[in-house]
Amino acid sequence: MCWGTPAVVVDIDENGMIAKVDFGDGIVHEVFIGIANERISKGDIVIVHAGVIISKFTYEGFVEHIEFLKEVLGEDLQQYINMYNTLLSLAKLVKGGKDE
Amino acid sequence: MSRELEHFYRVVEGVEKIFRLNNELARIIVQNIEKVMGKLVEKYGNDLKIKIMNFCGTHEWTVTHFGLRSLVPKNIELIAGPGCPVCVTPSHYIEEVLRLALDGVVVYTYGDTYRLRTVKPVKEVRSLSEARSLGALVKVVTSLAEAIEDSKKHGKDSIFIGIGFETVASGYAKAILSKAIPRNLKLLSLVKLTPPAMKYTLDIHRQELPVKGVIAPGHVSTIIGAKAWQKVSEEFKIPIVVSGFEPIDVMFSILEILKQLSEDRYRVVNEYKRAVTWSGDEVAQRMINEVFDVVDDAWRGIGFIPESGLRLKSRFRIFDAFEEFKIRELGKNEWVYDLSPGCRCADIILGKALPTNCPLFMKVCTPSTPVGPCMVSIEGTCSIWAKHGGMIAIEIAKDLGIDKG
Repeated sequence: MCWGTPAVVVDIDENGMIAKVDFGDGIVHEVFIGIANERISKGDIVIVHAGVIISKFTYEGFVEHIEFLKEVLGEDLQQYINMYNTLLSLAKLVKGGKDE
Repeated sequence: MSRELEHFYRVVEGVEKIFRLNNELARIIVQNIEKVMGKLVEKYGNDLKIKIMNFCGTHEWTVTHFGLRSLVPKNIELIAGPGCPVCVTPSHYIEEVLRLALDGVVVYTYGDTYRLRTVKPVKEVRSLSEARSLGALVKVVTSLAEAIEDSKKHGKDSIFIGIGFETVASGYAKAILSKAIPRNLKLLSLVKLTPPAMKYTLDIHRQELPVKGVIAPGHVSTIIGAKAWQKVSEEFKIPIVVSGFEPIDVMFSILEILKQLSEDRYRVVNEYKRAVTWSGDEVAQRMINEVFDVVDDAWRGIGFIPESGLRLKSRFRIFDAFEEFKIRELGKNEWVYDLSPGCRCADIILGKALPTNCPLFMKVCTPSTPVGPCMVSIEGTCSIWAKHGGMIAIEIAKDLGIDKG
């Protein structure tokens, strides 16, 4: 049961219990925040599983992901440079979205 | 369009571009897999068979839907594991809920459980959907939050069938701890834990061809952390890779497993770094420990697995459906095999058989007329194979002359 769907947080209740999220169709759903409240704020892109927020995308997470790809693929980094750049822009996008 | 939504679309599109629709990277990974496999074959010979288990139903979906079996060398056998909670929920508990539904209790359930068939009928009814057709108040919801909101409106005695793995447990715990659940709604916790099930399954395979690497559940690991698989990796001396759910994620995880095998190493690696951390979410883990007791639990068709389930602690009994509705717990001595005759769901869940080995598959058991639980759930291996073709990608690759065999 690992089906997870990305969504954007549009609001959070004052107790930090329930967040309002949009899965991209403009309809707002109420979901439980199943992880530390401090990790979630308006504008975050989160992963929702069966009505529970279980994680969120972060700049650091994407950067670590790039490092992992580099490590596994090994030496011929130059040929993958476009991919790394795309990933890095994605990481910046995740970070930038909230603070802009 | 709101700025948030626009930003969301751009990120989702970016993720898909990199991890789903990335032919260039896919080609590079395939080449690397072949290179490492070459080394392994050199070392162990042409007859080498490497069995890799994906634990999670959603990974089996990715493997089958995107035809990944056709992209890996023939020495690799990709098998599915027990990661489908609907499939492993014992018939007994659904029978108990059917009794309540027919007695007028409002039942809230996820869509998959709604169609789950019991072994024994209750007043000639074998599923919640049949109960509803007889007038029972069975409501399909996508979350506990939805059940809470709806049950507040009518105030009638209600039950929420709380199936799932660790991924839902923290949400249930939060609802209990914050007293968000109204007095008329009770939670039936049938939550199952994944590491004990993985150990059980790996142990079964030890008797035949042992599993050499595991693609571990990414979303479960957002909660329990990649660290949760460390003991399993050490005990079985196999690489375990926590993986994301896009095809590139899964291919990368296969490559990492092969690399470790070629270097005679075994360790837990987190591939799904964009969503999973090594420690997981410690607040979520604390909430789960505070609200639930770990119990030996029954898995459908399989029997009891030690310390593999969660029940509400006694101090939360006012929320507990077991207490309120006198639902009978299944005793270890009374558990009986709870699949229909001929159904091989248990073997399929444990990765010992393929859906196509089952005599019922696509004959009497189909997605529109499911017999076994693996055909009911969208994460059941039989349902995935029925909808996305199982081994068909390999046959297509052969026809096109691009197969790896």
